[in-house]
Amino acid sequence: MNTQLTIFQVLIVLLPLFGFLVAILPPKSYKKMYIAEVGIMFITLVLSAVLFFMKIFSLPDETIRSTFTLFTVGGSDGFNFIVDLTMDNMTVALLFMVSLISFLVHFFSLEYMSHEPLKNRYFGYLGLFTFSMLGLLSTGSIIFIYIFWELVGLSSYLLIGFWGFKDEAASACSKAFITNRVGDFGFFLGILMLFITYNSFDLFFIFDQIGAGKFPLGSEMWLTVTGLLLFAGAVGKSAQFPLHVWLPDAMAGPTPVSALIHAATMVAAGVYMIVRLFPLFTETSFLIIGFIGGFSALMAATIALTQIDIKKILAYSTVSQLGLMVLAVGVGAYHAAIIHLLFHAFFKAGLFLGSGAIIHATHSQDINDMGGLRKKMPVTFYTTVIYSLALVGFPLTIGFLSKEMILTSSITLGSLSGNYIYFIFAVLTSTLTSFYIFRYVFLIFFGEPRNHHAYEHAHDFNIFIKLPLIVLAALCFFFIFTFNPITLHGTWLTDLIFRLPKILLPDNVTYSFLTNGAEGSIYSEVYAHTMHASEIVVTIISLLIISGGIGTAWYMYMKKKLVPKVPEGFLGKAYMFSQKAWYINELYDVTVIKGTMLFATLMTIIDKYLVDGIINLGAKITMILGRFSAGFDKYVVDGFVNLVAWINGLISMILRKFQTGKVQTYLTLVMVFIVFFVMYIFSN
Amino acid sequence: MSQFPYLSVLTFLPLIAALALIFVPAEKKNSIRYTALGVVIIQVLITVVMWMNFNFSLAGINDINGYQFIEKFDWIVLTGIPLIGTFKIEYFLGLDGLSMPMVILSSIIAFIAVISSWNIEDSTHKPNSSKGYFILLMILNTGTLGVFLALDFFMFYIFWELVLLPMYFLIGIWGGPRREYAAIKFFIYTLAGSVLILLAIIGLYLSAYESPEFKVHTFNMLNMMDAANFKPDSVMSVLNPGNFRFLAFLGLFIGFAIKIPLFPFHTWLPDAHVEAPTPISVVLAGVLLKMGGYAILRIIYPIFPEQVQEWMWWIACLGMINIVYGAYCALGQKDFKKLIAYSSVSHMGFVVLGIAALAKGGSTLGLTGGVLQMFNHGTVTAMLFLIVGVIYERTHKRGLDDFGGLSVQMPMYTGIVTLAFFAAFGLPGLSSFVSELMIFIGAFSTESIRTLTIISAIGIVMGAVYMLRALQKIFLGKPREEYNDLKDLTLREYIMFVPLAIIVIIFGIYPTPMLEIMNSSMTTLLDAVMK
Repeated sequence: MNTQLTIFQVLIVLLPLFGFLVAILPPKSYKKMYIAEVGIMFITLVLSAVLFFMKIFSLPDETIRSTFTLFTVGGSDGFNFIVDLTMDNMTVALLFMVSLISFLVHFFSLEYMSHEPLKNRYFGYLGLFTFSMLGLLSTGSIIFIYIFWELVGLSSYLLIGFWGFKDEAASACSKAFITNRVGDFGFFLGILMLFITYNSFDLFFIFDQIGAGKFPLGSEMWLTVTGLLLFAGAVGKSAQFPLHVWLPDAMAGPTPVSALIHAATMVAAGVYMIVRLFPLFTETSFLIIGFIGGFSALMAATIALTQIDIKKILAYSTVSQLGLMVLAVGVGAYHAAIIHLLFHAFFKAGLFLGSGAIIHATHSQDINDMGGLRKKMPVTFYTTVIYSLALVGFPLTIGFLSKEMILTSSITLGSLSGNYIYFIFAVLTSTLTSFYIFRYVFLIFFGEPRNHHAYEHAHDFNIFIKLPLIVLAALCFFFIFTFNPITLHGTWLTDLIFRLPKILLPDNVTYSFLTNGAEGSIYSEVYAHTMHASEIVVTIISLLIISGGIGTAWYMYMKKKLVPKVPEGFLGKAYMFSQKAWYINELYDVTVIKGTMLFATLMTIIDKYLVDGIINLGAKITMILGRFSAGFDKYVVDGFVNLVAWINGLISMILRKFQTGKVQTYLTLVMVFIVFFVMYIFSN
Repeated sequence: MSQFPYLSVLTFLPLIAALALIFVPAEKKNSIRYTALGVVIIQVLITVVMWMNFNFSLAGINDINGYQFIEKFDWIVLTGIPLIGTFKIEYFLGLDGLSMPMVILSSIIAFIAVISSWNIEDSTHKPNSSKGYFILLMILNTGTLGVFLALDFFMFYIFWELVLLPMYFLIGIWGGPRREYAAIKFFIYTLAGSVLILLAIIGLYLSAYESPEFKVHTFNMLNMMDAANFKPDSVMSVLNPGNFRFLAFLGLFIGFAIKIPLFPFHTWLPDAHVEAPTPISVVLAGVLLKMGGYAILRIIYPIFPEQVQEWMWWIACLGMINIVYGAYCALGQKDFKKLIAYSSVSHMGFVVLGIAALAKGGSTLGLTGGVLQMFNHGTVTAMLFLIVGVIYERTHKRGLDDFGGLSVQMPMYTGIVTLAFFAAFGLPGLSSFVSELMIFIGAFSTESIRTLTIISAIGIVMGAVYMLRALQKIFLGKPREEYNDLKDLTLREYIMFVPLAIIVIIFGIYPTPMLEIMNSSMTTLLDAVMK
């Protein structure tokens, strides 16, 4: 059975890669290869459904792992690089979810991208992405999570930049990849920390070791640091503050891509990662993680209030919802985080596909070009309303179930530790969410058409557009997942699918913020009790929030018929602050980006004028010395030689005068010489 | 020694071809090109045969019995010279797990270089200038292989210098506008390093005996790796308290560091690259830079283990500076080719960081990663320079701001570029990731250089920054009309790119073929240094 399941899993992961190759490799003349890729995705979906049910029904309690050594460095006791394929209930559920949404997006794209000349490439990239995402979910090794993490980054880059001839797409794809790399810097260092401590990438082994009290560099402080370094990766990928800036820009990619990658799956990888790494975090790490999540959630929600690009509204909404998931991990409720991840994937993918249908119909992303579309696009309208209700957490939808879990766990944390900040973050975010998403619904589908040309041409499309919308809308109802519309606690989702296979809590680490000092496991009886008691409070608060938010939106956009524009006075400043996304992009432009470029220019100048300057100076000095010695050679050394020669010449010139050739002269000279010689001798 | 002299044939075949080419008339362009192509194809085949017959369990390094395909003869023996005694130079070639990856790399790059030189023209567009070019390229080929195979210091030095000469002319005649400046800078810079190497060689030669019993001086490198072979009162003996070992170490290190090139000796590289014709840049970055790293491992590590241990931190520090400084300089460039040149500086820094990750009884991850990185960088950077060549050949422009939106006009080319760029900054699944991962784990595990490793990790962020910036500026954004007629890759260009791309992908997924060559040699090398 195990082998069978593993073979299934391998097939599921590798088939989309095969699809990628099938679509991308054949020469240009094979125009229809993308259809094969879609077919392969369908097979993947079927297989992952089969795998899901096989695993859940036949081996619900097992974690199936298969490993082999890919390469070895050094001798037999050297470094082994181990390929790790791991499957537990969470894996198979998420594999199913990803392949389902991926297939629906493929299906949707058949119509949405029908005018695109490079369809093979587009569908190939989707296949590459699906492969990377499924791989990311299928491993229990931190280095393989990192490897697939980078590969989803690559496919995200390629798909955001798919229309790279547009300037905004061109800069968005680089921005996305580079911002993620900044987070990965931390992720990578965290992995190195783990490796030097445990000499392994195997998460299950590492958790065992932590449970046995073995910490990086021997101290809990370093475990916290390691956890936060790894979390930095999640901050990048899941677009949390301060690395959230890439996600809104990533909307420059085709809309189905936004639905698949930048709403439902890839951006959730960060949340998935911190859920997987749950046993690795210390109390301090949790508190920081929760704060980052809560802050991102609230900040993004305030930004979503005033956006006029419909995809930007949804993008900030995604940042905000991811923030809630991260917050849920931070308050110790990994169930809530992962279930919200799953549910969010359905309704957010739906919202994006719905927006895609609208963009496809109106050829605009500006909310000012819309209005009144409900009559023209009824399917899109009804499904979008269902998604929106799920997003705000309306009763009877899946959103109600998961959001209630997040709110309950954060209020439980509050009542146990007195720290209500996470609960406040969650409540405020939810309030704003129900406002902005119904602003979105009202402005698009109700009221008078603001752009008549766009309105006239708008219509629901064929089955390729409608079917994915309807399937996703159906998934937004609670009864698909549970018979209890009030709570998920104690259902198969919490107890079977998303229990972590091993929660081995370090004995030396106390999660006092969860247990309030109570002994025992992470979820003490006190915790469970408090949790249970707060459920009713939370439900009431939740209903108030929803009606408040939707009511305000209704009042402003239905009753008062306001249109998005900058108000006067102080409110206008606040409005601009929200619309400009807190000016964070502008801030990064003048600090990080300018700073980096300035530093690079400085380095270049130093290299050119200082480092190379010294070399050239050396060369110049050598040249001068050379000239000097050449001059010395010419005028002194050679001058001396010439002087000697000249003197010789002079002497010989004088002596030449005596060489007359006449014997008489010679005789006279000899005589004179002899006379002088004799005189000399005698004078002595 | 009855076996086929693989190494001699591999090394001297191009030289023989070069001699033969002298007698071919310059107009017979095709005979010249096909001769060169034949030579490099035979070299690749010989390499493959050697690879198949390679014994992975033999280590080499400091043990002659661990070498394979050995050819060892007395070459010059003069006896009874005053003060020196017997003067002995051997013809000594051998192969081990350290040189094998470099030989494979050289053969591949030589092949690629010949293909990309197919339509070479000198800077004055004189007809028939390709004869001299191919002759020089063949001599260069002999030189690089000789450096990787020679185990006699004298031979090593000859090959080391032999590389210099053709390079000078290849840059100086077939180069760009500032070719003369670049050529002379390259030549003199490297020559200055060579002088230091030569001094160290002479010192070592005068101090080392063939063995403690046979008091015959020799240039055999392996003899110098055993401290017992040194005359006790000589300048290079560890027993001599006033020895000059440190100076010799320093001289060799600087000499080799110039080739790598290590900060602050790197400034010849961007100039040489910018002016060199494409195939020469490919050989320069692909093979020549590796000579420096290789020589450090082959010569300095086993001969001067105490100095290496003592200066390990500083070596790693230079590696770190190369990585970060090179990356920032690359980001600051406006010229595409210069950017790639600085990326080489940055990536060679990883090599140095890796080989400085030494710990007694520790793992060989750093060392192996360093050597693997040399191989991977050789293939990736060859692609990068070819990429610059493609665009320069078509437009005669190289500035980052001169282009935009080429992905629309040249989609296949852009595909290759994307692969090469992502490979360059270590995307998982492509070859550099494996070696960089090994280097980082190795270096981070080495406690003394852990901080340096953390700083070096900036390089993995910056790598993406400068590469993607270039990709964005040249290939994305609005297409420019002036480039509407640009042809996408030609068949010849596919022949250069596809083999490299396949290597980059295969060794990214399955590096075992390379690692099994290196493993035992690296273990021995680590033991030799950290004994």
